[in-house]
Amino acid sequence: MDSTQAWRELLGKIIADPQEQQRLANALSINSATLDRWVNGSNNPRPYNLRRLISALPEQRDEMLPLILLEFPDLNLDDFETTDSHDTSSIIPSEFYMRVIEACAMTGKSQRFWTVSNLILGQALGQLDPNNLGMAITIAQCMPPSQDGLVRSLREVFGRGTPPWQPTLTREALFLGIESLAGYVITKGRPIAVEDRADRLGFYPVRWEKWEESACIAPIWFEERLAGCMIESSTQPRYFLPFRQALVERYAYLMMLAFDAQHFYAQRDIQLLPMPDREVQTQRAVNFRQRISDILTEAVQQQQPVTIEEAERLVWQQLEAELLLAQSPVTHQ
Amino acid sequence: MLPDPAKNRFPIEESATEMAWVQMIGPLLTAGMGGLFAERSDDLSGISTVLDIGCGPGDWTLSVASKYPHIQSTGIDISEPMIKDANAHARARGFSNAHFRVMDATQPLDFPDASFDLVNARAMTGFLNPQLWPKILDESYRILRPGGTFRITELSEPLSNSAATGKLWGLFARAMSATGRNYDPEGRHMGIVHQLPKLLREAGFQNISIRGHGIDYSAGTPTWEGWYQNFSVVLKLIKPFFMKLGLATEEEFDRLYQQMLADMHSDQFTGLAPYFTFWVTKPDE
Repeated sequence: MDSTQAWRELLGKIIADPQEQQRLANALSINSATLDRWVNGSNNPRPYNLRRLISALPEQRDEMLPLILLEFPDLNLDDFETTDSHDTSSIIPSEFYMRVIEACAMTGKSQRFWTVSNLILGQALGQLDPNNLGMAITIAQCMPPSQDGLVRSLREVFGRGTPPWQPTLTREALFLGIESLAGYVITKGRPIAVEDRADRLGFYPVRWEKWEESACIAPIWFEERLAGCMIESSTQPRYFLPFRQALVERYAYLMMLAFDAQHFYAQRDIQLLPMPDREVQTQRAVNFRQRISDILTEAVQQQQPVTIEEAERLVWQQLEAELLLAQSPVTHQ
Repeated sequence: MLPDPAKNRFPIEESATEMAWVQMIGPLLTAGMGGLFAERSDDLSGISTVLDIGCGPGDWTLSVASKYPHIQSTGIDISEPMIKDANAHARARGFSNAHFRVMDATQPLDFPDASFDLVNARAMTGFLNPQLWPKILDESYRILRPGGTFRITELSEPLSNSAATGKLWGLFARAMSATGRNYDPEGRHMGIVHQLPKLLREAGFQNISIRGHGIDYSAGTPTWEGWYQNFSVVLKLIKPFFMKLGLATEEEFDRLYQQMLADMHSDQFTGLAPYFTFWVTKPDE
């Protein structure tokens, strides 16, 4: 093979693994046969596909990029270079930071959590799943402390997704305790990625959800205190390569701006307990929305305004107490 | 003082919450419509250039660019922050076939004749009025190539078994009417979907096809959460518009709003958002 075509040889080695070939094809939104045609020289990629190819191969980037430039010397290097020589895919663009900071500065307290969370999750979804392969991002927040002053569970409070998930994930009555990967991350205080549903079963406390093939979770910190964590789920196995893990961690750092200071707890005050399985929780909480509705309706009738946040908090705390009691009656008698 | 419809102001002021709301509603609507081009089973053979009018932060335009790498997908919007955001998304995703420009859709568009194979628009009711609709349709016609497709999707009005929800959307229809933004002087409904076929014919388009999308957001459906968040946010955003028009006191609005939240949480809540997509062709020369 001509030396200017060495990048094709390297690509050929990479896609010798059929799973890797399919992963690349998905990442580039092309047919996997197109990759074969690039390798055998019967077809040339367009510039934007070359850029996507480099982005999808962070570990081979330093080797692949010079080889591509041998054959395509007119390519604009600016498209590939980054300020710190790492893959651009792991950097949150400065415009996104600015948008979030502006939102914090200019949004009233009652709207801040929704506004900032929505902006961050929208941006994170676009960057982590640019080709809509399927991703869900959920925020799990520490429940307010129980009567003993300790945080006993997390609750999924906000979520966004790309198909097959809904664009707006349903806030179910789902509490996460020490038995969950989110709980484990909170306890350890560091991000964790579980690469493949088929691998490492039993190593981490993972309860896989429908469509979820890999996951990455990062804690949300402020002043060495925790508010919860950000949970990324992908339909693709081994999706959370190191550059995506770095991105997840950076978005989790940014998420601290959505929360009020009092929503963060010292790690010693977070002592999660095991929560029941999803099925048990769903059965027990089947009428939780109706309970919220009843509180709001009564408030309207008595002309005593109760905010939706207050009504939800009351119902969630009641439910958490009921579930904990059901799970471990001796501890909570 | 009433907003001047000639100035074509969107009834919601620009803010971070508005930006977040628009960012949320785009994917919600696309999912509710069954995908990007449900009316043609997502088949875009023969199409290489697409324009999205009023693209907001670019969700639809970017989705087209992602799903159809061979298509040049362009979005325009009057809001500079939205376009800045859309461009940042395009760069962050590494898309070189998605383009965004600040452009006022109510003015002559800065594109040559016959520039696009397909022109798309969704939910333009909020910023148009009976004087502006024919202009924007004429411009869409001009920039389409002969044989090209124009498609537009608009909401009729949300239906539900919640009296409070109905009253709030009734206020919205009256506000649109009071400010000359719709085709229903009585303010009984949103006032555009029944008018669109006539407007499209008058603009010179042919082969009008119509598809309804009934988005069920009743209690217990997977779509409830998104539409609940949509209503709870948009009605707060639009509250200052109602207040300016004096259509309700703040107390009345707040009471209806809280009752709406209560009703939507009820296990008995039912709701349907009726959207209509119209797609038409520009005649071959």
